[in-house]
Parts: sequence; structure tokens; C-alpha cells
Amino acid sequence: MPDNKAKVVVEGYIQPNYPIVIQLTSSKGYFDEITENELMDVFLSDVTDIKVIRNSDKEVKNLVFNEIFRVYSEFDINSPLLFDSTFAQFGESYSLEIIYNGDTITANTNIPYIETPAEQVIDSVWFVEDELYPGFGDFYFSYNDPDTMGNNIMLESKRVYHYNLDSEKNIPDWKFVKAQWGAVRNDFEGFNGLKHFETYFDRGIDGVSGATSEGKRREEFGNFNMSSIDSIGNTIPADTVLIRLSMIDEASFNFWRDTEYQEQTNGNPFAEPINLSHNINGGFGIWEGKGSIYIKVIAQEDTSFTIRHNPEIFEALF
Amino acid sequence: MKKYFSILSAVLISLSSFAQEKYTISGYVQDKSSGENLIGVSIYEKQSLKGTTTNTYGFYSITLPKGDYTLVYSFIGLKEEQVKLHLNKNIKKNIKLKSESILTQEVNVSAERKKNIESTNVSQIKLDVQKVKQMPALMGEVDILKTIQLLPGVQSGGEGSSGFYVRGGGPDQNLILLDGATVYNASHLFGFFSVFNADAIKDINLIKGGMPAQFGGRLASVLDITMKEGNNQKFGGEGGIGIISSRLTLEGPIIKGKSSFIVSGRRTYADILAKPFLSESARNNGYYFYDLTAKANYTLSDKDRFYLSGYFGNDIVNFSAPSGNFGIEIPWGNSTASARWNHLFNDKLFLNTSVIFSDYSFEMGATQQQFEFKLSSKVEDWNTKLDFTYLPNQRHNIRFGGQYIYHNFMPASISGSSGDVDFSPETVFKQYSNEAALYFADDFELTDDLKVNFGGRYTAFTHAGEITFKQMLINEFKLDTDNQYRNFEPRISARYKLDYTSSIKGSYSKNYQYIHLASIGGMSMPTDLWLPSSEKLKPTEGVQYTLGYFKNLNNNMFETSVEAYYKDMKNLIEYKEGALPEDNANGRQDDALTLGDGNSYGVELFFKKALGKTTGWVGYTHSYTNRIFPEINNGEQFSAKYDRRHDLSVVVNHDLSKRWTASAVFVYATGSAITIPTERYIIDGNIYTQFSGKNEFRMEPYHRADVSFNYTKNPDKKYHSTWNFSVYNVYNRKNPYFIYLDIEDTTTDGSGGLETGGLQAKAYQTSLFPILPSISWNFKF
Repeated sequence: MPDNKAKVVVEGYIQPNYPIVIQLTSSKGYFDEITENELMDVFLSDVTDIKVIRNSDKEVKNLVFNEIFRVYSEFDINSPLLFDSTFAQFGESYSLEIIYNGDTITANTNIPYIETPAEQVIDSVWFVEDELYPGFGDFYFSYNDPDTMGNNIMLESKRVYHYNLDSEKNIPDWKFVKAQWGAVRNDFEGFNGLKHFETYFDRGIDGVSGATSEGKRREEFGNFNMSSIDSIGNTIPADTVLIRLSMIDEASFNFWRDTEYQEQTNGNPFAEPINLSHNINGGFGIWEGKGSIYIKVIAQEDTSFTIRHNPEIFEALF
Repeated sequence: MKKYFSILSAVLISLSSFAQEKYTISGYVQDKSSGENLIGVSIYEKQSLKGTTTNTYGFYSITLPKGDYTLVYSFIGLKEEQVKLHLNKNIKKNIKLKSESILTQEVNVSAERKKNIESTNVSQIKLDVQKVKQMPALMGEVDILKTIQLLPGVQSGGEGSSGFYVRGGGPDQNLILLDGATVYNASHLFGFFSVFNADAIKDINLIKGGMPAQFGGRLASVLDITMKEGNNQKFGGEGGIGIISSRLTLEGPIIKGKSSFIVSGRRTYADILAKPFLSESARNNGYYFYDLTAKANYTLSDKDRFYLSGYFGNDIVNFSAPSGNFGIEIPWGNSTASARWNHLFNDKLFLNTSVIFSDYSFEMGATQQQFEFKLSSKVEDWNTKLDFTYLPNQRHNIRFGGQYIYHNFMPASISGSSGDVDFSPETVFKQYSNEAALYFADDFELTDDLKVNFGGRYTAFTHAGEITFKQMLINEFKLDTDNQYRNFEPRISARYKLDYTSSIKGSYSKNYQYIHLASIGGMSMPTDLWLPSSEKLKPTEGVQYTLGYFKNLNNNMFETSVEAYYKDMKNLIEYKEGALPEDNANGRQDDALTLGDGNSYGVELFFKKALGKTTGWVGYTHSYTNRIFPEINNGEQFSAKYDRRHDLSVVVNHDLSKRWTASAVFVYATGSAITIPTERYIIDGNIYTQFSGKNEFRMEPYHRADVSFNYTKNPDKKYHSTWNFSVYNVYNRKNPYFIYLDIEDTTTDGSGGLETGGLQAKAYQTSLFPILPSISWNFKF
């Protein structure tokens, strides 16, 4: 069996008005033992030479490791608002350079423009209760696609208010979760220029084993919780959800589309195996520029939605 | 232009030959004991050794100047016949050859053995059905396709598989013909046995390169199998009882000397034998296959013969859960029917007209409580052919004709129901195609040493898309050019005799293939889909160059050859990375597939001894088979799954005595190319896998030895029987069948888990067949 040298795995984002965030991990041999704390074991926290360059004017941002969030970024955890909010701009391209253990890892991305005003892009958002699982439901929204080719979108959501039945308190999601089966779409799927393109928006499974209520496993089911009454008559508020619709470049689209393909084909002996088509030279992963629209909405029928142009930094960052 | 004019002049002059008065001897050559027409009998003039061979229907024609001649009729296994003639007019001469002893054969058929040196055929091999029957057989089932795999340039489809790959071509690139009818899926039992019952087969001819112009529609090879016609002299039969199946063949005259029939059937019976030992609820479960082959012929006159033949076979899997809540039935199979009419216009012009039907269908029906699910796929052909053979004189053998095939494809239609709710599609997804060809070829002896077979095939293909037949007709009249293809396929091969015992041969051929087999996961399964070329799926194009040196030794007792080939292929199809079996369904096939190119090159060595007490061959192939697809493996070149660097086969048959024969086979092949996971990494909290380059790794090499012994009781009597004792995989080699991955708990107390650790991925090799002895009893009367 092959004996491969561990490679650096990049998961990094750059978006206007927010600091750069990059998580670095290390790959392992497929046949290496899965350790007790696999996720923590692979984190790389000792990278000292990591920088992002704006290609148009060669301005450089050196990044440092943040112990709390275990990511490389430009902000100081004690003063998170102190970062250069003008560095990431729509339409610019950005190079990533990492030197680690004598290896140089590079990547390039750009931040796609979003159509303005955003209200023209998102036509409407509405919530539909699930027929089979009352009390839960999905969001649908109507999206107007620009009539230019090359638009790639990504759909994510994050419950910024979520009442956890076990702890009986609000425990919001700590990061965005990609919509399951179809988090990324592009013009080659035949919706270039479509007006009022309507799509189903499942929050996806975030992998968190969750609370149970009347035999329903809400977290695993993955939809959004509507308002309900608990066993002692208290009203449980509905989820408040931040939906993120991002314009991404083609490399990012291919990468995330491949993650969905691999999840579908894993373990199927009759399927063709697929590698993730990443944009990291000398490593694995994705260096992604995104231009995002944020929409805040409550999981209830006849809901109204608001477009949030600048959610607070920790709400939008992870 | 001047050069072409010279060649044309030479052809015309040689065709006319006015200088001398010439006459023609023509007729049919038959086996005296059975009345079967013999294919490939050598007929030559004794002084000059110039001659010809009988065609597929046993017909020959020789034109010679006026004079006295001795014609020799020679065929392996039959007594040579010499006929003295005073040729001063056209003569009809039908010949019946008798059988003879093995020792006499070695002397008499020496000249017949020279065909290897003399003919322009390059990369063609004929198999002797009787020898195939003596060879060791998996579970005692004699299998023609498994013998084909032992020839150089032909690779096996895997352990126990009857699938084969020729010179880097995929399994869909082999044109398998049974009496002219295309057999789309030539295997039973998920590929372990072929559909051909050896008792009903007369002739097996494999063409690996330099494909003659009368064949087309496939890139890699033609396996042309001719069924027996049936004994027109007396009634007889043969059969056998094996460990997994039994078979019976009956043949005899309908009108003695004029018309005969042959019917041959075979069925496995593991399901029937197991039934008494199964519980009541499991008695409907089982797997079996059967096939039925039948043929009849009628000699209408000296100039007209009529043949009717057919094949019908099915594999059936049944399973019902004891609760009755779940059941599944999977039938699949081929059926073919051929009607052929031979007509002799005169001594020099022969016509065969064929009307052929071929069908391959696969179904899977499953029920679970109120839910029903059904998957069907089908390909059906109506084919008509006109094949002329014109033999103007000794120097020319001209073939020309035309073919039209109407294809009807139904690739993977899915329907279902839940209670009263029906999910069946409103219209079944069907695709219709028209394929036509015109061809011409002349086997032309330019000088005593130089012989050239040149010609070409003009092909046309129209695909009518996912529409009804009526809509297709409308489109045809509109002459929609989007899905129409027209191509010319030049074919040329040449032989240059170096001396009496050796020659060099070369060939160039171009082929187009308009229908494709989509196989997911690199495994050939009954569920694989046949698809027509369309706007997205371009026709596959192949060009092959071959060069060979042929040398016979020891008065033609031994045949040897060295052949080198290079093949270039365009528009091959593969499933895209990440494709799933369900991507095949309801007309989405084109989107799941991607096109690319390939090449294959190699050297084949062949050493054969066809006569005497000990016969057999050694074949070795050193080859490379590559693929380049823009959408696969990052666009980088990769090895085809069946790329084999080394492939060796040794086959020995030995007559120990009048009653006992022994056979042995040894095979060695480089391991199959595979893709394996190499690394894992975490993205967005999920673990993803990095795979090696496509087919970058190899399984362990494959090697195996088999032996068999045959004991014949009363070999000289009309009724005789033979016991066949076979041992498959004598030294119990654990050959890799596939590799699977599993997560193993490495902790001593079994506490391993995703959260606690202590797990490790491991790769395991699965082997299929250990040492497998078998016995079968065969009889003939």
C-alpha cells in the first residue's frame, strides 16, 4: 500500500468587509490509524510563514495563528474589529502563500461581484412546514440569476437562535452549514439568466447529535424548528436563521461539487471514485473568495426576511 | 495520379486475362460422414501449389488455363483427396472428405498448413472445436470464449470471466457473431460462462487486426462463430452431464443429403437439485440459465441453399424473502435468428443474403410490500446483408456487398408503483438508429511473392434520439444532420513471401464504431447499457497498424509468428468521475459519460503445433494500453483497467493412447490496474479521501494452471462416451478478484470507534476460485 508524505490541507476564505480566515490541517495516510482525537491531531498551529497578497497592487497581509478559533487570520482576538476592512474587495484576485517544513504551498482565488442591489438577486424567501414531520420545515427562496455566464453560487445557513431542548437554552450554530445535496449551483446547470429561479433550501445535517422531542430527532433530521410548546407548556421560540448566498469562483464551485459527489460515491463499489478538484498547489483543500448576501429569517410560515448587508463579524465569519 | 493509374491498369489486366483460354472448377466441399459443408478447406493445383480455400458455406472456385491438372483438397482431420482433371470446359466438382488417422495427417496436410504463410490474413486465428473440448474447463463447462482468452493479444476479463479484451479495446469493441447475428452479451452467470454451447459450433475465427472490409461496426476484433448445419446423412446426437449443467444435441437429415437440422440445449440445475433441501419459503429462490440453439438447412438446387438458425438463452435470478414482503426477479438474455440464402449466379459469382434479428434484454423487478420497482434495458437489431464473392481468376478473390441495421435501444427505463400510485414514465425512453455500410475488397496476388488485400467500407449512421418511431421517420425526411455520421474506412493488408517457409505481413485498417457500451465501475455486468452515437456521443474511431513475421518450421509442423501492432483510438467513452449507477436511468446516460482517446501497442509471439500426438501453443503478449480523457484523472494519461504488461498462455494437448488424452493450461498475466485511496483529510468537519491516479496501482499478478484428462470408451464405435476429469487452479493460487477496504478495530478490547480512536483502514484481497476439481460425462451416438 502507498506511503504518502503528509500534505498541508487549506480551508480558507476571503470576503469583503471581513477578516481573512484560514484553517490549516495535515493530511494522513489513508491506511494510518484513526486516532482518538483525529480532528485535533491534524490541526497545524506552528505555521509561521503564511501570507495573502492582493495581486493588483501586491499588498501583503501576514496572518497569525489564533489559539481560540484555531485559525490563521489577521485579526487580534482581543480586538476583533481591528483589521483592514479595505483589503478584501469585490473583483480582486488574491494569492495565498504558505511555507511549511520546507514546502511552499500556493493558491489563487478571486472575489466575484454580486449584483446590486441584493434585493434584486433574492426575490423572496418563504418557509414551508414539512408534511411528514410537523413542527419542522424548510426554506424556499427565489433567486434571480444574472444573464451573464460563469455565475457560481453557494448556499449555507446558520441558526443564530436555536433553542436546545436538552440544555433548555439558546445554543446557536457556531458555523455555517452547507445546504445538503446541491449547496453549489452554476450556470452550466441550465439556469443562466433565469428569473425567479426557485430552489429548496434544506439546512443540511451538521453532524451534531441533537435534542429529542416527542421522539423526533430534530438535529439529525436537519430541518429548521418551528415554534412549539414543550411538555410543561412553555413556548419554544422558532429558529432564527442566517442564510448566506455567496458568489464563488469556478474552482470553488468544482471543489464543493466534488465533495458532494464523493459523499455520494463513498463505499459504493459500482461508482467511479472521485478526487476533490482543489486549487491548492502543493497541498489539498480550497482557498476561496466569496461575495456574500446575508438574509435573516425566522422559521415560520408567512415569515418576512431582511437582507443583512453587514452582519456582525463573528456571526458572518464562521 | 500516375501511380493510381498503374495499379488500376494492373487490376483490370489481371481481371480480364484474355491471353489464354481459361476454365473454372467450382463446387462445395463436405465432410463425408456428416455432410457438413467445410470452411477453409485448401484446394490447390499440385504442380504450382496455387490454390484457394472454401468460404463460410464450403464453396470454392478455381480458374485455370486449359490443360491437365491434379487438384488437392486438404483439411486438418480429414483425408486428403486428389482429383485428376482434363480441363477443357467449366467443371462442377463437389468433394466429400473422409476422416483419417492422426499419423497420416502429419504427412498429408503439410501443404494445407502453409495457409499461415500464404494468406494475406494477419492477426487471425482459427480454433479447432474438438481441441477446445479436450481442454480443462472450469466446473467442467467447455467454454469457447475462455479458450479465446488464451490466444496472444487477447486478455481475460478477470478470474473465471468469459469476457475478453483484444489489443487494448474494450469489451464492446468485439463484434461477436453467431451465424452472422450480433450477440450483445455473450455470457451467462454474470460472466463466468459463455453463451456458446460447443456441441453446436463448427468453426471459430478470431480477427484481431487487419479487419476485412466485410466486417465493421467494432474497433477491436471480430469473433465469427459458425454453427454446425446438422448431419444430412444420418441421425445422431451428443450430450453431456456436468456438475452444474447438462446438455443435449440432436441432429439428422430432414431429407437425406438435401436437408438437415440440429437442435442443441443446455440448462443448469443447481436450483432444481437444491430445491428438496430448502425450506418451503425458499423453494422459489434460485439461479439458473439455459440456452437453446437450432439450425436447419435445405439445398434447393445446385445453385441455391437456404439456412435458418437461431439462439435463445436466458439467465434468471429469483429471490423471495421468507416473510413474503420482499421479492426480486432478474432475467436477462439474448435471442438471435438468422435466415440466409446462398445463390450461385455462375461458377465465379456467389451471393449470400441474410436477414438477421438480434435482441439483448435485461430486467430487474423488485417488490417490497406495496412498493414495486422495475428496471429494463434492451437493444434490438434488424439486420440485412448482401455478401457477394466474385472469383474471376486465380489472382483475385473479390468480395463486395452491403449491410443495413435498424437498431432499437431502450437504455435503463425505470418504473415503479406504491399501492395505487403509479410512477411509470409516460413514454418509455427509446432511441432508434440506422446503420448502413457498403464494402469492397479484393484479395489480389500481384506477383508470386506479393499478395495484397485492399478495399474499404463506407459507413453511415443516423441517430434519431429520444423520440417515437413516427417522430424518427419525420426527422429522417427532414434530413436533420445533427446526429448523422458518414465515414470511409480504408482496409489494406499485404503478404510478402520471403521464401517457401516464411513471409512478412502488414496491415492498416480504420474502423468506426457507432454503438457503445457504458460500464460503470470498470466491471462488465448484465446491467451495462448499449447506447447509440448521438450529438454528444461521437462515433469511436480506431486506426490499427500491424506488422508480422510468419515462419513455419519442420515441414510446416510448427507455426510461429511475431506480430507488432499500434492502435490509436478516438472518442472512447467512460463514466465521469463520481458517476453513480443510477446516473444511467431514464435518458440521462449521455450527461454521465465523457469522451476521450486511447492507444495500445505491443508485440505478440505465437508458437503453435497443430499436428501429431502432442499439440498446443505458447502465446506471449507484451503490451501497453493507455487512455487520455480531459475530464478524468486531471486530463493526464492513465492505464486502461485491462492494461497488461505481460500475458502468457501455454496450452498442451497430448494423446496418451487411443482412449486417453491429457491437456494442460498455464496462464500468467500482470495484475489488473486499479485505483486505490491513498490519503484522507478533513474539510468543513468531514473526512474526504484522496485517491491515487486512475488505475495507478496493480493487483497481484494472475497465474494459474489447469489440467484435464479425457477417457473415451469404445472410441471406434458409433456410440461412445467420454469422461472428462478437470482440475482448475491445480496449485490453488489465490488470485486477486477484487480489493475491498474495511475499517478494522485495532484495540485489544474491541473498544475502537470514531470517537475513541483505535480504528484503521485496511485493504483486503478477495479470491474467487480455489482448486476446483470437476467431472463430466459426455456421450455421442
